[in-house]
Amino acid sequence: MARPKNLRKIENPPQIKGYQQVGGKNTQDAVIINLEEYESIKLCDHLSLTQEEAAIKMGVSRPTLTRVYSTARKKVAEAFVLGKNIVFEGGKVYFDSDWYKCGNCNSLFNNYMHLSKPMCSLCGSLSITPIN
Amino acid sequence: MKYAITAKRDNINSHCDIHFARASFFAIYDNQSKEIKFIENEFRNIPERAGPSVVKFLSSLKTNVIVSTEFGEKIKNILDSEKIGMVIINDNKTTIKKIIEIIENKKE
Ligand SMILES: [Zn+2]
Repeated sequence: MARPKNLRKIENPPQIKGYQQVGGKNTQDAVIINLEEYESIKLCDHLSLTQEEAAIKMGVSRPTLTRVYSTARKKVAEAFVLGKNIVFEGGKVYFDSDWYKCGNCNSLFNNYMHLSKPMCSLCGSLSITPIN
Repeated sequence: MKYAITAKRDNINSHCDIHFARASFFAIYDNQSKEIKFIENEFRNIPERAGPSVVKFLSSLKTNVIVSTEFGEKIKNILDSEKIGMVIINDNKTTIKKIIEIIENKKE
């Protein structure tokens, strides 16, 4: 089927694959932060949303958000305190794509491939404007 | 790339259909092989979950992009998770022929 009910919505994937610790001993040790955990930190800490607002954005219940967010912070703390790398990986997520209007063929389309330089899915034009 | 274009009738002079999941036909166009095929939408009259059923079907045909004049409100999440693109045509008088011409002029 299309997607399981408990799939979380992520606006954009992280720009990097993770973090590497500096100057520590066990340079291969890593904590895995999945993409829904990443998104919860982004929304709650970076964008300063309330947990309520973050839950709505991700399409999950408030208790689920609280649980995911708490796990995420524990993992960040573990990496900091124990000198581990952080790897962003996995999670039951899908990426919410952005809408654009094409200045050439006049159609609306979404950037479903999450390209950094999106082009019109129909005519291939680059003269496009984001809408929302 | 494989395009699924909603169609009112099963020929290239037909207009693009209005409702994605309730479209009468899908014109499946492959811009590599230039092949065009009209497939009747057998899910158009089912009472519930027509959208997800159509997406599953089009996904099994390895569709990359769906072209329609309208999409249901809940369909975007499903298409995003399937990595299928959406194109909304502004003018519902646009014919399948015209849409294929636009795709053909694509610079790739
Ligand atoms: Zn275009």
